[in-house]
Amino acid sequence: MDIDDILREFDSQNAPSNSKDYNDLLKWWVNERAAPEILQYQDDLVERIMTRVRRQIEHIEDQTGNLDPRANFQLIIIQTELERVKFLIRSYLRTRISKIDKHALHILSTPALRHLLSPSEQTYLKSHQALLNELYLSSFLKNFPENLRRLDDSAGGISMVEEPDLESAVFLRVVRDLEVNIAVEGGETVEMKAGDVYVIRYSAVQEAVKRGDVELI
Amino acid sequence: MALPSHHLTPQEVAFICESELITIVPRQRLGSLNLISIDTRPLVPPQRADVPLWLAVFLRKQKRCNIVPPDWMTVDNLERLVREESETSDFSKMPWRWMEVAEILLDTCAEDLISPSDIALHIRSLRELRQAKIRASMPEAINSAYIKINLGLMEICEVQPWVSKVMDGLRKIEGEAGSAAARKRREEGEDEDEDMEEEY
Repeated sequence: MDIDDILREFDSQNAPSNSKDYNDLLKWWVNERAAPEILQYQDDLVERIMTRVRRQIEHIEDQTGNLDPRANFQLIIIQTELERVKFLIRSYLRTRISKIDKHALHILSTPALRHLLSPSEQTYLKSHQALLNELYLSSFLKNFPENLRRLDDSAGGISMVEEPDLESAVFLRVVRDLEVNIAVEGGETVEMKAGDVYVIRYSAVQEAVKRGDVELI
Repeated sequence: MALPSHHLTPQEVAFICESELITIVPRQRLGSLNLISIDTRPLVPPQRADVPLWLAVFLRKQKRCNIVPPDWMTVDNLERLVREESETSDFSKMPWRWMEVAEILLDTCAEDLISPSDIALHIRSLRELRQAKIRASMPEAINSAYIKINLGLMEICEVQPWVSKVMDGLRKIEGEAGSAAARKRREEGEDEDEDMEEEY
């Protein structure tokens, strides 16, 4: 080990390290997958990782002409890793898009939820919904009586707007010790210890997920 | 890529597991790599180094390194764990990703393990003992407001689909018959969270 290695190691301990970013993305990907509602878009995190992805692609393009077998082998590893990271980002974004599609009208009508979306997700939501509305209207809604044309009708006690089921059961792993109020008669509390795994309704741990005290599975 | 399902698939659990670090003994030199998820140190035989599992597997397949199995993956320790597991009704404490790690290591680098067939046998006994416990404890546990279930990630991935489905189903049945509070909540259709704070 020479002085450069020692310095590099020292650096990586200080800056928010690459592996922390990567593990955070893994965590938010799994959270997003498991949570019934849409969570805050991890803007800075995705941006940092995308910058690195772009830099890595440039690096690969620079090196592809290199015929040195050793460099070539390193390039294979770098490319493999790049594909892994790309998979992770794609799956994260697609999970969000599938939720946006599912709860489109609910998100559109709730400003607090709209702020959780990234600018491009907001654009997507609006234009996709506009297209859908237009399609429905031109293909069948136009034949309906005026008072039955709404897509957000709540007549008869049933709302047409699909909302996420916040009471659904989720699996979680505790990161930091905490107490959780369960919403049953008597208002029992559970003391959760770091490392334990629970199954509980999402609404009881909603805030803990956002704070990062627990990780969904 | 298929549309992401609500629960993690076993392949995705394995993907997550492959991001874990594992110790290797390199057989060849390899310069340091600036990867997106980690900057690896130069590999110099025979100095041990920690690399992500996917990289370790990749290097191992090309016979460029040997993998050092984690401490708990020894025959003695696994024998002890199997004994513990069969004696108590609780789940004994296993590493969070024990099943995935064991599976991948037995698959790719059995020669790096000491008596791999015994290890595989014990891993299977552990798995069967624990599965039997899950089946035995669930009927009772599933009706409560929460379940404490200290399993590994892959085990959770196996039980998750039906456990959450049954819990959601039971909740809906209860809700139909349910308390006045629940009915009121449904009718008002308000933010669930605020309601809870008012009630308790």
